[in-house]
Amino acid sequence: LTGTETEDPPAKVSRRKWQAFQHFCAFGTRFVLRSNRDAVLPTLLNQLPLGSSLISADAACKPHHAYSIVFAPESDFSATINRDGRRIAICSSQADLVNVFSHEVTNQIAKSARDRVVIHCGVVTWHGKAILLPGRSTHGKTTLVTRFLEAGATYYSDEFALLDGDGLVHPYARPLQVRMQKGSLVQTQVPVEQIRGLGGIGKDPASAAMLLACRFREGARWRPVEISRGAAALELTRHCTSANRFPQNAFHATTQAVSHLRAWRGWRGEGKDVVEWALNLLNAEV
Amino acid sequence: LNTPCRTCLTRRISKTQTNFTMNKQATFPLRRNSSSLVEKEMAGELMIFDPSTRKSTCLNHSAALVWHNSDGQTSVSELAAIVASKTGTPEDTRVIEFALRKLDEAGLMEKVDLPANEDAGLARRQLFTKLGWAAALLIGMPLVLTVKANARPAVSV
Repeated sequence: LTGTETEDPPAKVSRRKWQAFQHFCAFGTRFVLRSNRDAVLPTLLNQLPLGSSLISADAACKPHHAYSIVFAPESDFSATINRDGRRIAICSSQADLVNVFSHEVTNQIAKSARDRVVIHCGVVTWHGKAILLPGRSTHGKTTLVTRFLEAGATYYSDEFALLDGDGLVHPYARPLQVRMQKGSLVQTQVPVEQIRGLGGIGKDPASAAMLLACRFREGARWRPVEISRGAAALELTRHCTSANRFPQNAFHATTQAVSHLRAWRGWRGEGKDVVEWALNLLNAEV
Repeated sequence: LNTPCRTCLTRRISKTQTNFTMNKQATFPLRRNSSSLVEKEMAGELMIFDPSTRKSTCLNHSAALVWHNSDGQTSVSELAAIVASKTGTPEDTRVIEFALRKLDEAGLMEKVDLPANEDAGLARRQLFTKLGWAAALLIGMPLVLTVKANARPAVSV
């Protein structure tokens, strides 16, 4: 031996010698999270999205996706997040790491879920019937969901509708992700229980009775146009995050989901008029 | 003085010849083989999924009639008669040609071979206006909607 530990050149991080790793599963997709520092793993595992569960290494025959958190050897906190060997982000603080990892895993689960078809969509139920509110980010899904909840609807999700093979909608009742400032992309978590008038948080799958493909526009009047069930199915497909990988599942689930619903499309202003209109219609049908 | 100018005469002959050619050519459109597509009927509409292109297509009743009857042995005028009898709309080959073009754009046709004409680029409502149909008949106009399965960012950071 010619040198001491301190005299050695900095060791190159071997990605095969992980200090800690943990397998987890979400909606039929298996993941492994590993890092060359064991202290960070519990913090990241606490941030796993709804529907995730830890599994043993034996149960996971072969993970579908592998996340590696690689810390630079000499830095206090400079971590690289890799997914399946490709670098996603470099984080300079733990807060950044947790934030980026949380969003990345949520996004990946939405894209690669095998047991469920994931639609980018707000969902509430009224007397057990689901109201689907598909839309892209910043289109006002969370605002409209909040208005429905204030009117006494039951909360299912402000982000994802999880459809099974029969087209039933399963809850994804995470805290509401609210943008406090207009136009901002930064979201703040708001517990659903804080909303006055909340009708409850959904637990059982529900069949969809109404689809509102609406988007916020300042000062717009709610003058919806009814669309056919076929057009409604295409609307769901358009916002289906897992359709790229499992297009046939998406086709079956979306066509099943729309088989008993009525759908409308239109611009909306404030959400209250939409909520009042929708609930009156559902009450009349009940 | 009664003799038309050279340009007019040329145009007239040319137009007549084109129409004559169009009438002489009988087009027998052929749809794609159903075995490679996933079909699902619901509430008078036909949903079709094409696994090879990942496209979902929605056909309304009249578009579905055109597609189902495009067997390579039924001419455009026969298709027009079938659609007219089942939907109650006026019999017009231009509507069928429009439907066939849209079906072809959606990748659902094997062979169309339609002659190029001035209706080729028209949208559904433009053709409807041109035909001068009553507003109630709009629902009978063929409608083909297509969406390609495409992942978008689900979560905004």
